[in-house]
Amino acid sequence: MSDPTTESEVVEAVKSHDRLLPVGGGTKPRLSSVGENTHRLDMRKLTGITEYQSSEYTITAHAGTMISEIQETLGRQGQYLPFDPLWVDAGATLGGTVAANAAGPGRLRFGGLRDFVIGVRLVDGRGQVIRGGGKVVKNAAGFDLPKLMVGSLGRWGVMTEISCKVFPQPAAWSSREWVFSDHEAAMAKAMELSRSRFEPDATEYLPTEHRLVLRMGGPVESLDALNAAVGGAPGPDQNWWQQRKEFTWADSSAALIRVATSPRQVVPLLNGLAIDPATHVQVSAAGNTVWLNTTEVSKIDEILRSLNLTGLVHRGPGPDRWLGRKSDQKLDAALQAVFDPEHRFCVAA
Amino acid sequence: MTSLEGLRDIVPQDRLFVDQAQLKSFESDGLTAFKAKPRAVALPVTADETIALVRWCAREKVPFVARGSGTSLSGGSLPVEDGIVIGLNRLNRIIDLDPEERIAVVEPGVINAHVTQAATPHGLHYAPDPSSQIICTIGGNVAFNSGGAHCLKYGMTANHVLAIKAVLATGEVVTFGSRSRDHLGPDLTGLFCGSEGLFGIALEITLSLLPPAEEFHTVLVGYRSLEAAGEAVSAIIDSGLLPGALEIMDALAIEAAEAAVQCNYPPGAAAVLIVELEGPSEKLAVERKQLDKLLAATNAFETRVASDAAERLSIWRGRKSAFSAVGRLSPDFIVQDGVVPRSRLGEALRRIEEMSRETEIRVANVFHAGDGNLHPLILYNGHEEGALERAEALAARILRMCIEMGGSLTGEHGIGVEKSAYLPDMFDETTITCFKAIRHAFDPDEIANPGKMFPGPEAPALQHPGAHPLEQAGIISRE
Repeated sequence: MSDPTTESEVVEAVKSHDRLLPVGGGTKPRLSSVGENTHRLDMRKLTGITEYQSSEYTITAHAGTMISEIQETLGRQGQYLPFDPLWVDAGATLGGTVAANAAGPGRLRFGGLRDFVIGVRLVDGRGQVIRGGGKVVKNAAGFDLPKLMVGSLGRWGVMTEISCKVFPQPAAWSSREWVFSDHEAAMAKAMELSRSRFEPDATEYLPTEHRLVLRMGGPVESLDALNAAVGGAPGPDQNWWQQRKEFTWADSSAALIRVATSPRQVVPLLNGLAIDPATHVQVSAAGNTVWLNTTEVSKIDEILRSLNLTGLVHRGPGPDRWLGRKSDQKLDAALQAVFDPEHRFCVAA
Repeated sequence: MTSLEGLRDIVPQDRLFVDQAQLKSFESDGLTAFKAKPRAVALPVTADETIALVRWCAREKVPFVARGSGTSLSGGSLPVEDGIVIGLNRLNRIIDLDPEERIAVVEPGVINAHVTQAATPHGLHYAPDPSSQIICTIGGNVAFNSGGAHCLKYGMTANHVLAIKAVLATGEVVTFGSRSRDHLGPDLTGLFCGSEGLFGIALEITLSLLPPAEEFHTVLVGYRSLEAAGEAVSAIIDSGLLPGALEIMDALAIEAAEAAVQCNYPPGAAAVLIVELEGPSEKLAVERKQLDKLLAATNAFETRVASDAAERLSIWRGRKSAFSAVGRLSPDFIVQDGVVPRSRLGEALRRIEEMSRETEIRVANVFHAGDGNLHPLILYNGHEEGALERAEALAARILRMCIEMGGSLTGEHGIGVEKSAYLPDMFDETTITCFKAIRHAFDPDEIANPGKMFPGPEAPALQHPGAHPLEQAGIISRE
């Protein structure tokens, strides 16, 4: 059977495979790897922007649409996805980005995928089409299925169409940076900036260099004054931010692990990692996400467990996708019975 | 009928209401057109008592309704006839307030505005601001994913909730999310928000706080027609500015507000527009010029810029009074909160006006213009035979129009009892079946807030209400 180009072909594909996993650009290979006898349903032909009117601040597209296409379309109207989707140049699709909750540095200001996904159509494990949310920016009707899809890794069904809220893009950006003598001082500054009057839209920390980098957006005429007021030294250019979103800084043969943290959990995690010089670290969104690039996956698993944190391997080897504290939700099983009673959607543990 | 004896072991007599006089004040919520008499009202003071109450209900298969301050406009906390009401106002501790991480952990009975009051000394605030914020509780805000005037830019309640510890209808205690603004795995916190009490009761809610904007630029603009005001909104949206608030009031709503609070809006305006920009002073210095220039090019006949905090409050006073003020124009009113795509606002308002003329029912309009969230206030006199039914019929036509235009039944009040009959207008059968199955995953016995969200026989009949006691006292309003 060829790759689906329409929603009804997705329905057919779901019905005709006992085990399958929808896959987009494959930019996070560990999240789309499957065992034997599982069909990888290539979604990259179910593409196209179906509705976009810039004055609505919303865009609707098929799940296989490349994020790069969406960004170009939005950019022509001076709009953007403020959460900084990841692996855009590498070929990430809208569906994969939602399923993996793949948000970058910009999530700091207005939130991540959960704050921008407003509507979804999906094909569940029975081959039924279900529609949640809507196409308007404000909506409180029915259960919030769009949010349930964020981070679901394909377990509830195959998303076919997704609606997102979008925002006008600031006319210009500027970066500032600081270098500290230790992690404590750097994270204290990161937390201070994120509750400051400056409304930074990104604050990233590179622990090996003790370097904290901030990004602000706004009208061109306002940036000099903002830069002077916020302090620090001039920061890196847009290419540097691009590298953060594409992970060109990371060794692609080593594992890339994402850990959800609260800002105060970052320093203990960094101290725990100090014993392992093979691990490269980027602290994102003022300490709400930590990315680890390492060959020592089992060591990381232990460290995360000791700190009661959870990690998810996005790329690279390792016996298990989930590290550290495992979520133990009876509800997952109950919800699986709702969406996928025959366990068609293969989601590795 | 199940004996209530078991409840007496959980809460003492002075916090367990069973006699008719005590129960009476719990018969309705903010949607006064519906009434139902519970069998008992229990007022727990701890999470453990709440859990024990839910477990008792689960064991005895007695339906329960969680209630905060009872301000729901969709009848979300309407009791179930002969069920139990679990009143959560006394679970009102702010458990943790962490300025560095910008987090507050609160119990469900904490009043919305109290979160901001507690956060203000630390230079923070809680962004969601439903109009009833001085009385409504966070638990209720979570259950109905409440909105407010700043949703376009800041989102709804769910966008500010990071984690929830809850007792499900089965009695099981679960925790969703964490203190991280990131999450791995499906967003069950997001699913719980707006679940209208059908899953269980939130016991601890972790909220994300934000620094308040440093400066505001608030402008009140008078127009000779609603259409001109609508065009100004389009021009603002197209300019690339992202206002914190964008509100419109029509002539009838202005008249009401003038009578109530003498807000001194531009005389003779068919519509007023309130635009508010906010942010760091350096940014605002540039953006305010952009906005003022843009407004000057619209068909405004009067433009007033707030020069200080007092003038800003005075501009907002008229807008904030609008709902209670409409009570002066009419003994009764119904308010809806349907959403239309923003670009179709003008068309929606024209059609509402036509329906109003045709049915000879007066409709005042106040709305969040930035996000297409309408608030038609449908005026009627409940002492007139059949007036409530006629008003309800007009409300139904307006809701169906919203759906037909590609919008939503509700922007911020929720489906509740009020709009449950219209759910099938917005979602197809397969999707509603899926919603019901999700409910069963959390509540297999359908004991948590039954009769809400889904159409069915459980919903009680309409009754002539009169205003809510708190509304009469000017404490709450219906938006």
